Formats: sequence, C-alpha cells, structure tokens
Amino acid sequence: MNRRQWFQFGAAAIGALIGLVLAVPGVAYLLSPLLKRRTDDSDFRTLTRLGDLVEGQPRSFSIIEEQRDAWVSYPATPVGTVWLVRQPEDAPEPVIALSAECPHLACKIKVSGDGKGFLCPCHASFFELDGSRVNRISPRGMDTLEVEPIDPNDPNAEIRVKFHRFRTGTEEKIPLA
Amino acid sequence: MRNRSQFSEWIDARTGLVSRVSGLSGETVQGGAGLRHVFGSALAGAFLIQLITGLLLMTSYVPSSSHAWGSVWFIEREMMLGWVIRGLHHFGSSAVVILLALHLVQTIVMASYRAPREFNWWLGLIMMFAVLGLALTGYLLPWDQKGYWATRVATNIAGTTPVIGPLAQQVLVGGIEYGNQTLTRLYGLHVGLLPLVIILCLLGHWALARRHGLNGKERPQRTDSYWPAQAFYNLAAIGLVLAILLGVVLYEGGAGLEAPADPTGTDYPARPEWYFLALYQLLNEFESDTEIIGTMVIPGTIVTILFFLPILDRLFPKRLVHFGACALIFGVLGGAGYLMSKALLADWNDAAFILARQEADEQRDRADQLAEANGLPPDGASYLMARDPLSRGMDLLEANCLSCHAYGGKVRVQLQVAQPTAEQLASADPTRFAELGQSLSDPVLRSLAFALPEDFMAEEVRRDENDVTQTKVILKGKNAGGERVEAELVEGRSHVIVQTEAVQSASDLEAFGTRDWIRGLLEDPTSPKYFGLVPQCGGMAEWKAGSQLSSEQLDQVADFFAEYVIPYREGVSAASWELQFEDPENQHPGYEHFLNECANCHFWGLGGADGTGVDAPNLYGWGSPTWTRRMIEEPGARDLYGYLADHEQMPGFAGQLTQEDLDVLIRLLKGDFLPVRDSEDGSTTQPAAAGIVVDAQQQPD
Ligand code: FES
Repeated sequence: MNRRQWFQFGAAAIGALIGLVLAVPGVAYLLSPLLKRRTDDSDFRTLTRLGDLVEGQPRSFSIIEEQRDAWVSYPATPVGTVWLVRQPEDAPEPVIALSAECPHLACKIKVSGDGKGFLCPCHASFFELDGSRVNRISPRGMDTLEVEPIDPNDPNAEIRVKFHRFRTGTEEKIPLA
Repeated sequence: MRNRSQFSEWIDARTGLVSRVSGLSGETVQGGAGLRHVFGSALAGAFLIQLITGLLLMTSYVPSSSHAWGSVWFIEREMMLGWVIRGLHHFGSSAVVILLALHLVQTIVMASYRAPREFNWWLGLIMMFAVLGLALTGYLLPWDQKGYWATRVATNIAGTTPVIGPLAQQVLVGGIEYGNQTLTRLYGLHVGLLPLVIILCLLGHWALARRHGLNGKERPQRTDSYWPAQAFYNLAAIGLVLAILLGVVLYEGGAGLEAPADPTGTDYPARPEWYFLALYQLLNEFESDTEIIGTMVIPGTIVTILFFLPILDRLFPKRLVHFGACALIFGVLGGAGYLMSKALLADWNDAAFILARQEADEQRDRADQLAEANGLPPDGASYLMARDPLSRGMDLLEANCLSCHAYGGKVRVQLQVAQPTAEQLASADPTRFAELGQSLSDPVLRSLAFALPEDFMAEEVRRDENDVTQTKVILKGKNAGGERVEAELVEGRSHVIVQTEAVQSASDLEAFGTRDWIRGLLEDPTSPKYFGLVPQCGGMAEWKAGSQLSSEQLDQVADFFAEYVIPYREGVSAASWELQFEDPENQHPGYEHFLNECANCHFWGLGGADGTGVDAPNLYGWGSPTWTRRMIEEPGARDLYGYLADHEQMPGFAGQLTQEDLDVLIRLLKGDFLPVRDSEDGSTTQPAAAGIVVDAQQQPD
C-alpha cells in the first residue's frame, strides 16, 4: 500500500466510524417509540349491570383511564367508548362488547338511525348489531372486546370489559401494543 | 478523474457537481498535508456534530416553560440513548468552544489575519460570537434550575449595557418576567438565527480559505493534494474530538438535569458553564458601581481590538502588531484561566455554596424520582415539587412549624455559615474556648470565637481525625435560649458551620391524623411526642392516670378513629353522623369506650370550650384534612383550643397558606407521599427501588 492508498483507506475508515458513532444513537433515539416496552395494564373494568341492558338496544359506555402522554400524566379522562349489546336468552354469551373505534380509519361508530345496527359517519360503514359488516368499506367487522363471564340469570351481575385498541385498516384484528 | 462511472458522468453532465468535488479534493495543500491544518476542519466537524444532535433533540424538545423540563427529562430518561445524544450536544458545545479558541490562537500566531485574509478573519469573529450566543441560549432551554438562574444572570448583564441595555433585555426576555416568551425567543435564536448565521459565514469562510490557500509558508517545497492526505488528518481530528466527547458523555452519564426551574427558590447556587466562568468571575471582581468595567468595558475592548486587527496591521509596523496580538490573546487566555481557577477555588472554599449545592442535588434527585414514578402533572414541571409533601411540604413545615413542633423527632435546624475575614479573625478572642480540655490551635479558637454568639455556653468539643484528608473540630453547647448549638469546622479552613436546633415545645407531627398517632397518644400522652412538652394540654395525662382501659381496648378506640372519625365527610353534621351508632347492628366497641372515657371532656360536633366547662377540643372529624386544616388556620377557635386562650401558644395561619400549600402540608403530616428512594446516587436508579416507589404511590390524593 502506498502513502496515497493508505490515506484513502484511513480517511474512509475514520469517516465511516464517525458516521456510525453518530448514526447508531441517532437512529435508536428516533426509533424509541417502537422499541419502548409498554406494560399491558389494561384490565377488566366494570361498566354496568346486566339488568340495565335491554336486548336489541345497544348502549355506549366511556372507558376512563389515567393517561400518560410522554412525560405528562393526565388525570382520569375518557379514552375510548364501548358499545354493549345484550344478547337473546339462548345466545352463548349474554352480552357482547364492541369497540366504538371504526376498524376502517378510527372514526367513532354510532347506532344507525333505525337503531337496528351501527353506522360509522366518516365513510358510511354499516355494521350489524353483532358487529359484522353490512357493506365492505371497513376491512373487518367491529372489534369485539373481551367480557368477563357472568351468570346470565343474575340481573345484578356486573358487566366487566377489557378495553383494547386495534390497528385500523387491516383485515386482521391486530392489537396495538 | 479518469474512471468515473456512467452514473457520475450523468450527474456531472447536468450539475457539474462531480467535477467540482474532484476539483476541490485535488487542490493542493501548500506546505504539505498535516495536523497543522486540522483546527478549522475539526471545528467545523464539531459544529456538524452539534447540528446533527441538535436536530435530533429538536424532534423531542418542547420550548415551553411548563413542559421544557419534562421533555428534556423524557429525552434523558425514557428515550433510547437520548442521554447520549443530549450528552454529545451538551459537551459538544465545550468542544466547539475549545476548538474555536485553538483555531483563533493559531490564526493569530500564524498572523493569518493579514491581507488578503481580512474578510476571513471577520467572518471567523462573527462566527465566534454566534457560537457563544448558541452556548448561552442553549443553557436555558432545559428550563431547569441551572439554566434558569444562569440565564437570569446573563440577561441581566445584557441589561447593564448603557442606554439600550434595559430595552435589549426586555426584548430578549420577551417582557419583564422569565417565562414562555423567554424560552421561545431564545429557542428561536438557538435553533434558527444563530445556526443560520454560522452556516452562511462558514460557507464564505471556507470558500475564502480555498481562494487564499492554507497558510503554509514555512515548508513551501512540499505539496499534497487535499484528498486523501489532508482529508485523512481532518477526519482523524474530528474522530478524536468525537471519541473524547463520547468518553466524557459515558463517564459523566450524560449532561445531567437539575430540578425544574423554581423562580421562588432562594438559594440555588447558579454558576455559568465553565467557559463563561471567567467572565462571571470578572464580574465579581468589581464593585457594583464599577461593574460595567467587568461586564462591558474589558470584554468590549478586547473584541474591538480583535476586529480591527487587520487594519492595525496596515497602520502600524507589522511585527509590532503581531507581537501585540499574540500578547493579547495569550494574556486573555491566561487571565481567563486565572479567573476561572479563582472562581472554582472560591466555590471549593465556600461552605454556603457547598451546602446549597447539596440541597440542589437532593432536589434534582427528588424531581427525577417524582417524574419517574408518576410523570409530570399536566400543568407543568414547576408543580412537580410544589405538590410533593417532601419538597414543598417540608419547606413549609420547617418554616412555620418546626420551631416548636418536631417531625419524626427532628426540630428545625438552622444552618449558618460564618466566614470570617482575616481582620475579623485577628480581632476574635482566642481565649474564649481555650479551657475546653482539647488542644486547639489558635486559628481554630479564633474562628470558633468569631462564629459563636456571646451567649453560647460550650459543653463538649471533639476532634474527629478519622478522615485522613481533613480533621474536623466539633464544638457542642447551648445558647441562652436553651437551643442546642453545634459548630463544626475543618482545621486549616476558617469558615465554621453553625447549626442551631430549635427547642421542641409541642407535639411531634409525624403521622398526625393517623391511627398510629392517636394510638400512641392513648398509650402515653406525656411522651414528648404528644403533650409531654405542653403542660397546658395536661388533660390527657390526667385521664390516663385514672383510666382502666386495657391495651386491647385502646386499640379499639384507635380503630374506631381510623374507621369512623378520620374518614370525615364534608357536609354531614356530627349529630346525623352519630346516629349511625344508635343502630344496635352497628355497635363499635371503640365507640363505647369513647363514650365512657373520652366524652367526659371531648365532644362531637357543636360544643367545646364555651362555658360548658369542657376544656378539650372537639373531635368530630379529627385527623381528616378538614379538621387539620382548621387546626392550622384557627387553633384558637372555640371548638378547638379556644379554652387555652390565656396561654395560647400556637398562632393561627389563616390566610398565610394557600389551599395547595395546606394540602401538601396535611399530606406530609399523614405520611401520604412517595418515600425517598434508597439508592444514594439518584443518577443511577435501580429498577428495584423504582418498583417499590411505584407501589407506594397507590394511595389516593
Ligand atoms: S372511519 Fe369508519 S368508515 Fe371510515
């Protein structure tokens, strides 16, 4: 290796090293939102009693949660809405819970005008009372949420639901970490 | 170049970029490549590092007085390697300043300010100011104690400029108060204007440097091309700078973040960044009426001379000017070094500074701990400490309560530092403490005599020689008021730390308003923790002397308080509250004992010491925040201790404490706060400690 080549090689090597030393922490820093662990603190929470729900009349409930936005903790505020739908006597589950967040692009789903189903006002997605799709605007039906099993004959049984968010715009229901 | 790829040909044909770059890199370096020429490039490289890390920080930083601290804390503690990025940026500013000084010295020594390089010299000076401006503005941005107070000082210096000073200061600060406008303005300067100025000047500086060539007159026979020889040296220099920076960052564990800015705080020991320390000390060298010499005249003169250097070079003999310039720059550096060491030495010797620094460290760790456990309140970082019973609450307790009460056995301890001058020492009486049975040196005796009040009565003296580096002398005694006084000094130093402990004359407030407190009171009312030191509250002791209640029964009374009395509900009258115990289903044994034993003196609800012969406070809601708040605000109310009106001791604090202050004080008494984490060193939190901390936070406010 002559002097010139040696310099060439050395300059390239040092340059690469400098770039690396800056790039590694820089990229890690920018990607922190991806790499950050998030404890799954979602828990079943009581929304109402079985006796307060009427078959065929969905009712919405707010999910109230303390929120942490980066370094700020906000006191308990509503973070989401859940639709509870009482099922007929012979159904396997007495109540199903549907997230009001539209699987299409996350608008808020309401009960449709006739009360026989759900409607997302943003792009006119329609859903049945069980959350399945009526038209094909949304890639999947409304997201069901886990309901703690209860005694279907006890009107005082508490309806407890585990709230969760899912990725929008996918056919599959993918929970957000 | 010969063997270019098709792609570079394609680019070159359209932009000329490739030819230009290879033309530049093929340029010759007069006198041969070498380390002599790296200073400018290393400086530019360091600036580039600042630019990159600065842009990264911008993606997470919020320039607002409520959230700047939180965002910086988040970068430091929560973001991946955020502390490295911020550390590089923080220490990078020092690197830039050092390299700038080197580059400047080299330019002067090599007389590179001479024609035809005048413009390059001036551009360089402009950049120098922009760099110092960056350092100054950047210091404030975290909005922590350090930046806040240092910036106050710096902008106040700007305010002393004749004529335009006050206006300039007001414009810079964005008003009279330091706040959001200060931050946004300085942030605008820091990330916008100043970097822009530097980049533009740098382009000009660089183009001119190319035009004139590097100053390589001493070895004219050798030449190298810029690429790869000089490029190698330059990159090596930048690499070295980065390596040192990284080393410092790793060693220091990042840039560090003080507690959030607290404009009401009094004794934060504000010091500027080290490269401004000389200026800061220069300021201290002058009395207030001549201060302007230190803040304006001296720095202004130096700067003016530097600016006119190329012109002076024309007017006067070149060698003379060069000699003068060299003398000036080395004189300035030497003077700065002298001032800097003087400032550091002064702090090292200054006990008040050391104490203030310790307190600041504690606050820093506490702020970090609070932020980690619960995040920041939405209203901003300043409420982090203001709502912490151990911070704000303890301050209030110390200021208002601990001159009589104790908290956890501790009374108010006042620390004073006596720092005698040589004359004061000379006139102190060395015989005053000569008879203590310890051979103390004359200077020690004189310092003690100076530091301790006339009425001090010495009791014992101790020389602590366990520490090999220093010998401490501790003198204990009492003053005329019976307060315990302790003086401590290190042999060889003249300052004395005098600690005065208040005399406890009232109950211990730790856990006041809890079951434990009431249970302890029932056990032994004459303990100094309760009413032992308050003879006028002797009623409980009388009761105890005649009471037959067993320890179990006392437990039941305490349980009754914990279950029914302390959880007081606003708006329920005592009478209707008491109705619940009429129900035979709801008989609490503690209630029975209360009726049999306590109700002779104590009432629920209405009543108390108003001519009914009852001389005991009304206990309805005892221990609840409402009761305690009334006790703090109006202890002499008729239903509380009004019956003691004649020898009333406790003053009422109504109107002196805000609602928030009362809340935080009451929470402190009840012990409702995040315990201080165990680890001594707050900068390296053990996850285990943090875990305990989070658990302890479950109590509702
Ligand atoms: S978001 Fe609901 S239909 Fe588009």
